[in-house]
Amino acid sequence: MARIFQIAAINLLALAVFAQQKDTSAAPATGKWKISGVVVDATSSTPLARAQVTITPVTRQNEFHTMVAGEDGRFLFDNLDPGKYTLTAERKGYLREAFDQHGQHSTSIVVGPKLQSENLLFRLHRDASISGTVTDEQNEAVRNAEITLFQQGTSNGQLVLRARANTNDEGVYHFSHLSPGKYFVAASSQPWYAQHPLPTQRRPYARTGINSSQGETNGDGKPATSQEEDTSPGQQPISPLDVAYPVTFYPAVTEFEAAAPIVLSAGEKFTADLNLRAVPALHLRIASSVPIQNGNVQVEARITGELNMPVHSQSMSFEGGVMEVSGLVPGHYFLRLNSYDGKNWSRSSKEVSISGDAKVSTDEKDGYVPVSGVVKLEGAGNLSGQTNVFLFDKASGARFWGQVSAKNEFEIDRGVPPGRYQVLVSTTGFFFKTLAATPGRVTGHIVEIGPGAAVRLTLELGQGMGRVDGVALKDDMPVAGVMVLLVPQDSAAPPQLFRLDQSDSDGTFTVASVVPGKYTAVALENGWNLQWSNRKVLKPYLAQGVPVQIEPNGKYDIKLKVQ
Amino acid sequence: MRRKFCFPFLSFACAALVLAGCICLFIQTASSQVYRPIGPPSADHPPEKYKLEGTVINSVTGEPIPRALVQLNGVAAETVLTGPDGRFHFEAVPEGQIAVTARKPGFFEKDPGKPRTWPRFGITIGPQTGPITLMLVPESVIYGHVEDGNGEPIENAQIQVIQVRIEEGRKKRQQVSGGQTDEQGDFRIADLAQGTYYIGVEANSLLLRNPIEQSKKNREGYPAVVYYPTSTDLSFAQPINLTPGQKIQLQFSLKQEPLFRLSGKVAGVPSGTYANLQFFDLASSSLAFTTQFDPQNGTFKTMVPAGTYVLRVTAPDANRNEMLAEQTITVGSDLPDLRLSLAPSVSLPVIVRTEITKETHDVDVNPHGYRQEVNVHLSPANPLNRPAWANLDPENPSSFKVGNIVPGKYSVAVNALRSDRYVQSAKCGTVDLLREELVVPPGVQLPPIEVVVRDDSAVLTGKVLNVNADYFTNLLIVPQFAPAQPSRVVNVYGPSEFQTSGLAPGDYKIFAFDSLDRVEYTSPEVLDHYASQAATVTLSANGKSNVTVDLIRTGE
Repeated sequence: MARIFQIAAINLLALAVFAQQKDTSAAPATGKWKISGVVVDATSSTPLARAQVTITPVTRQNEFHTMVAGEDGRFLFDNLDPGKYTLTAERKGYLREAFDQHGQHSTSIVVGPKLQSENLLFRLHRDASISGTVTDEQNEAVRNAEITLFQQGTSNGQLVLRARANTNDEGVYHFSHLSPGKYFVAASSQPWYAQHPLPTQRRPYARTGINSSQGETNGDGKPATSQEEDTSPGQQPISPLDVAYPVTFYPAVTEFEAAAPIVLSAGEKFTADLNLRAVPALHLRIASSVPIQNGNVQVEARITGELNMPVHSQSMSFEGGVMEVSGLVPGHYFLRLNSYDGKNWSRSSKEVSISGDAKVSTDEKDGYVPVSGVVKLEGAGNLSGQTNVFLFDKASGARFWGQVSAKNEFEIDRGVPPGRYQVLVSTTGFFFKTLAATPGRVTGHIVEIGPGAAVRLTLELGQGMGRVDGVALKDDMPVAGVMVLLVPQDSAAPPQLFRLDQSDSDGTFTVASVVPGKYTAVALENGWNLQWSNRKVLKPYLAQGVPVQIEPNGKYDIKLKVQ
Repeated sequence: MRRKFCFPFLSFACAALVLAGCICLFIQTASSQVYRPIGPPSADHPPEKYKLEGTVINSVTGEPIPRALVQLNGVAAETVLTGPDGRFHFEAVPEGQIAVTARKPGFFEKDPGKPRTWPRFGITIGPQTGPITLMLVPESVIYGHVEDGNGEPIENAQIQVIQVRIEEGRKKRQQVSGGQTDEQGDFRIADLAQGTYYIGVEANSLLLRNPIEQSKKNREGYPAVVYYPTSTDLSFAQPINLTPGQKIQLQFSLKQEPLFRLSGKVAGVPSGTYANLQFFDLASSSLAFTTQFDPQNGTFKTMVPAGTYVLRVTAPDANRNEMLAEQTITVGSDLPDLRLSLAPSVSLPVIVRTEITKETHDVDVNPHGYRQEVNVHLSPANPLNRPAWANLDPENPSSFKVGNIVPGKYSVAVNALRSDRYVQSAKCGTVDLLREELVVPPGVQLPPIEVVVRDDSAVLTGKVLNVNADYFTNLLIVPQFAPAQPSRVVNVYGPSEFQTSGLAPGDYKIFAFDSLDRVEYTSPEVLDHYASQAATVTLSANGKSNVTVDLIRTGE
């Protein structure tokens, strides 16, 4: 089995202190079993000298032992008791990896009678890096640019924020210790010399209007409204310094769709230089039925349907009860506004697409439907840790969420546009059973939200997740390192219900926390590069799978034929 | 109503180190100029407008700086970038005084260490305004490499950039910047102004995270902090003097040394409460040794290299007052049985007696009829301790006390709040607080602080000689009869007369410094060094005395 636990440094430190104590007091190990092998470079298969190899009993995480492999890459742990051990290795210039690691999974080594635990080939991958220099339109270094590294998952194609970095005084950034994979790099910054004059200090220039998220053009969004003309003295030219940088992706594009993925192989040192080009900054005026005297606004730019990035480059001003956000570039934005009218603070949110200077009013509804709800728990117990409820629009990729309170209530932050949403809940120890909505039509965990009235959701969570143990066999022989997948038989089930494991050295696996229901279990020898969340990809394998019906708290033992 | 929040400028102002520097300066205007406030011209005299041109240059190389941002402030707010030749011009600038600034990433304000002047960057726009030259000072950079004894690079080592600065007459070490090493062991820290720095490397916590080190019989680690080049003590570190535009490379080689196990018990921690355990070096810098504390039984354990440390334990008591235990530990072997005991904080009542000799109007009486006459401020001799103040208890306005004082040594500053009154005496039992420091022992209730305030105070007037017109002088008025009380600091602009009142009768020494940034004036030895340039005066009750003081130039 072997899930790799991400242990925070501080925990490890705590372990360290206790482990040390154990070292001196522990009785000599009495077992007669061994784990041995050689650490090699995954690409060239040549032995790696002096890697640190650690074994940890799966059930006793803080009784680990570490040794340094020899010049010939060989390592040996002897006098071991029978049992399952996680094996990890690290070496300068290489990723810290568990044995035959795939994402969160790896193959544990089982020692005992008739089991093969020696002469293992422990393959380590060189770590890769991405670095580069960020320059501006005059090829001068851009300092303090914020660089974001995204990784695209192989199984589901989802973008995950991997790391952030800032450029130094020479415009240089660096991401190290990267695993092979597909990455994207984005830079966001503002020109250091940017000046965003107040409305009264600048002449209006061509405005091309505004579109709300629903594509309607509202009255105030017409090009160069007369109101704006009135407040502008019209004496000064447009400042050439009233500029901003769009979020820029490698190689030098401002649309994510046009970005080039950086496909890193083990050990690759990739250089991704970025050149930022300033464009005229846009000014977004925000009005309300009550004058806005003060406030703040959080601006997020939409990068893809599922990915937003905060924008820091704007500045704000308040004049005549209108708030102005400067320093934006054309794009699609989510605004979260806190405004003060001299007496009260109020919150509002807005989704806008702008291609020129524009004006929005917080009074105009953007068509978002308020969504709130309650989480009901079946049986005894309380939610532990942070629980979130997500509404996921498959068509656009848009995701909305709210955090569940101590009273098991939640509210989706700015509401959602009308549409069909998959409802998901992230929690531990419970699983999502039924969904109800008033008003709204519910099919399984999908809710249809119509325009207008606020929607209240009721989520019922159940307890008693099942567990499947088993062994993966090929020609009746156990096989190590194969991917074991539990696929829900309901084709509408979300990927969150899938369960995954990797078989250990004796072919055994354990799939825990299985939500009760009907599944098909499959064992795939080369499954790790499969896009398994896609049913079309999986279909040919399901026919030879083993159907399993998981009852609450059920425990099952199965044999799987490796495909 | 109009407000503007402009983030670039805010961050610029807040963090001069983060953003690039600024400024300017003018050459042609004479020092005799009189500052006129910038304001809108009157209606009947529309202002004439003139062209303003100039160049921005690098103060070290004299080379022009292209793409520097030049900004006019005030009514004519306008901004341009310099061209490739460093030149800029504004077509129509209204006549009168105007401030001009320049900035660019990688450059600093001209002469950041020099005394402050006002107006800083003013020039006069008129028919005679010629081309101006603005200077920017290039930043300095420290870069380098950290490796272990085997020449292997150390990744994630923390680099500390430390300066020793004088604040309120006291030397203080301050981490002014920092960074960390990359996987090649390299670091680079820019945005440094000229000055003297100490560079420290902290890599101690790294080895503990490394499992190999945990299973070794002989545990090894790096020293808490290594200051350039190899010292573990800042006082033996080599100062790095950076000149403008300088780029200095530093190499560190950290030697591993044995680690020792410390464990023990803290008495007096309320069960279930997490005590905060922290190690400091003898210069009061916090050290990143990770310590485990068990709130159930008050035990702790950690591993540290050999050295002498201050272990400081704090925990809140039931009333959220801080309890403290402190022990200096010299480590050369495992210390398995350390014992520390938390001492509760104490409070000191303050009793004020006023001796009134003239008619008075009570202006500052609170609703309960009680007037706060004095401020009482306890400054700890140990910089790790918190300062404390006397507060009025809102529930019981006649109770005026300093609460939550952790045991230790303090200098107690007592000031009369009304400008015509002074503190004649301040005592705590037999301790004369005007002359001595107060030791607050653990677990012992001290007698109250008794203060006598009088109103027959003296006035001091005078003039500083040989000052520059646009500069401020810092006047230090040192009471000879109250060495334990802080000296009064008065800022005097240019050659103008000064006047300060509410002084206690007695003998004073008066120093006029061009800047206090370089004078550790709380040290009597440092002041003695300047004694020959000080004026002396004896103030009498209700008297008014006049002095002339020579300017003391402290420039490097």
